[in-house]
Amino acid sequence: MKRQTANVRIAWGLCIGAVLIAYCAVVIPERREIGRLQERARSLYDTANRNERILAHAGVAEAERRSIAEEIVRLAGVQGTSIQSHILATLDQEARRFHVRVIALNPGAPVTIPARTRDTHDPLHPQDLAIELEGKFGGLVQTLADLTRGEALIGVRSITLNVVDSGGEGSPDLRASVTARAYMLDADWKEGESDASRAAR
Amino acid sequence: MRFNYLRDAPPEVIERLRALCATTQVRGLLSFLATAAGVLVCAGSLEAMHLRAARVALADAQVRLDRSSIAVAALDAQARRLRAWMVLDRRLRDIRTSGAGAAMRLTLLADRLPARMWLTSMATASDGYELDGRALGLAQVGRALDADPAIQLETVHASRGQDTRIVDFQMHVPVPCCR
Repeated sequence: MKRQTANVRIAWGLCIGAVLIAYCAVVIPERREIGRLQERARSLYDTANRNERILAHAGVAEAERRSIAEEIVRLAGVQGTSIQSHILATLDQEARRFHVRVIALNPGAPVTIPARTRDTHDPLHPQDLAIELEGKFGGLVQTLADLTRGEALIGVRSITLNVVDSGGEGSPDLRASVTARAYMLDADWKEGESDASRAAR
Repeated sequence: MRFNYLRDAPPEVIERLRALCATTQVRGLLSFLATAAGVLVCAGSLEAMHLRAARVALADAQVRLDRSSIAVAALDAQARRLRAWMVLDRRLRDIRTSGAGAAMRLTLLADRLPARMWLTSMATASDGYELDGRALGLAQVGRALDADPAIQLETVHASRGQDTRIVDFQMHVPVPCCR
């Protein structure tokens, strides 16, 4: 009887051990795997949330982009073959307004820009201009100030003033040699924009 | 000796097992084992279900992340383009104001010259202006230098004209002083 009881105890012990081992072998690795997957999913979820917070501001960026593009078009003024006629018209208008004589206008060859990579592609194509003007100091200064505000995109690089005629008691006549540059904006300066905005949407 | 099923008594082991099975303790043990097996199977199934759900959640999170990452990359490209446009906008503004800036600097320069001192030539240099002119006496040149310490006198010499009091001068005026 005693022996039978001992056997039963041993059997209980063995069964409990077997159950524990089975639990450890089946449930614990799965729990660990689930924990690992949940941790990874949480990390991905957080990163996706961060990305979506960034994307929430895409609307603002789009409005900003549109406004900058409009401003660039406005600042670039007229483009294409009519640029030289616009320069002449501006000079003629300013000369009559401020009593300045246009002595010469020499458009130089387009300035060659060294080949660059696509990312640093310069959308502005400059062309040198040499302008000779004669007049009183005030008229020359005002012509100069208005020259770059016209419809064509012109930038003043340097000015040399020389006295032509001291003009007795009045202010002397001056000759202004202006080195300027006319700029043409690439027609495809916006290139790539549509791809990016399409992808963002 | 050969065992005869019909005549011989069952082996002792079988008898012992029968006796063992008959006891309540063994029945209890067997019930425990059956229950434990059932619980284990249920727990295993539940865990397998959770594991499947976790895998599905991970796949969903990955898809969402991939989609948002693509959109963010596109937004980054757009932001880079926007920065380039802002640089272009700044350049265009600088070009547009270059004439007014030069005119303003010329006016400021002219205003700085004291009386009895006049310019015959004014040229822009990389870092300012080169001025050539005449003055009625060396003292006038000195006054111009006193008025603006940034002005650098390059040369001053007697004029070749009739009036011996008139001197020719050359000066360099750095741009910052004229702004």
